[in-house]
Amino acid sequence: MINPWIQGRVPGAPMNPTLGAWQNRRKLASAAWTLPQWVRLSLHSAHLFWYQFPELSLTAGQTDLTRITVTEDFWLVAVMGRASVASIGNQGSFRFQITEEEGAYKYSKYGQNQSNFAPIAQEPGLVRIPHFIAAGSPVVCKIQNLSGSTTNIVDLCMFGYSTWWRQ
Amino acid sequence: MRTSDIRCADAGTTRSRAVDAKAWRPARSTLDGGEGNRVVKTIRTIFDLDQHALDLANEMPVAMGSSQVPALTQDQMNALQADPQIMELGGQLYIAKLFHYIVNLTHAGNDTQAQSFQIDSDADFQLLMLIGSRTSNALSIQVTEGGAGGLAWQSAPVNFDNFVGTAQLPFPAGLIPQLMPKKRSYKVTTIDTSGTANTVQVDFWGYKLYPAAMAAQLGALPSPN
Repeated sequence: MINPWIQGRVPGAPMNPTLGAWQNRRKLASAAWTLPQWVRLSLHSAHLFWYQFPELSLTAGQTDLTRITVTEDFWLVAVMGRASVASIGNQGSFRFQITEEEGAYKYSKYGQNQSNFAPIAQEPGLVRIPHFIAAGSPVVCKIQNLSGSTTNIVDLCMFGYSTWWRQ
Repeated sequence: MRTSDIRCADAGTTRSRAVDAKAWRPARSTLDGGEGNRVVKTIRTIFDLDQHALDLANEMPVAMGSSQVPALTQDQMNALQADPQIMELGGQLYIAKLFHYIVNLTHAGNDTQAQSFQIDSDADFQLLMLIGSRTSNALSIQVTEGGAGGLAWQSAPVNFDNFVGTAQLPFPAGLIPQLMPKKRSYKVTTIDTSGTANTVQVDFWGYKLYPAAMAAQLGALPSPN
């Protein structure tokens, strides 16, 4: 018969009777939809960084390109976007597609609506496994204004962790 | 491979060195200097497996970046598990005390405002979340380190709503621990394009990290059970 007051105890760790004999004595946490521990460990000491695409002011229905160049190795964790025009229906007010010119890697088969890929910082839509972008890669974003009547100012950025200042 | 790690399946005793010499050994590697870290055990029953799992569990948690720093001692691991205020960074234990660094900026409209703040000299600060409020979202923000020409946190000013969240939905910028060292100054610049008055507050939410030895001095020592 296993004695729960002895079995599995960490030597020296104080017993906390309020937890009950069968309760886990380790810190308890539920797994969040975020970077898992092994990813965070492998990225330790990487510095937070935002790559901001130059802002586009799109006339009604206009499509245009904006681009940045990733200067240091970068692990993309979230794409965030903000537009001056309120969401049209529930699809957002712009549609966009991101492409890495290095190898022309596309992030999506076709353009995605704002609501599906460009949240804001309040609910950033983190990825579980960061997407790696090598230093020097140009990243191009093609944005289409979904408003047929109003000029739309679109701000899009990529948040993640950079090897900049990595020690 | 350590001799003491090999146990006889039937007797549960440690084998002699002579017996050990015939046992299977992992290939020598230049990385571990021939001393493999693997613990080899004979697991014959479910109870042995249970014990093995417990032994492994007792070895966790390892220090972050444990390839660069020595593993935590048993006492450190016990402290880490027994007190939620204690956290580990780079192999050292710290008392984490909740703290907010606040920056307030007021725009008349279509203008740029800047304000600096400095991390207090008593403790390093671990950034956890970015929170903020503004009157209008026609606003960009940038954060740079140190004085003029300091390294920036972004390639160009970022829309305010893409940079900070709210208390209800904070932005987890510190998913990878971001240490803001004591005494370092940071400059927050906001650029308003709304054309009207814009009141802005930026909140760097995180923990001041005091050495674990200061627990009593900080009043952070829990009463003994």
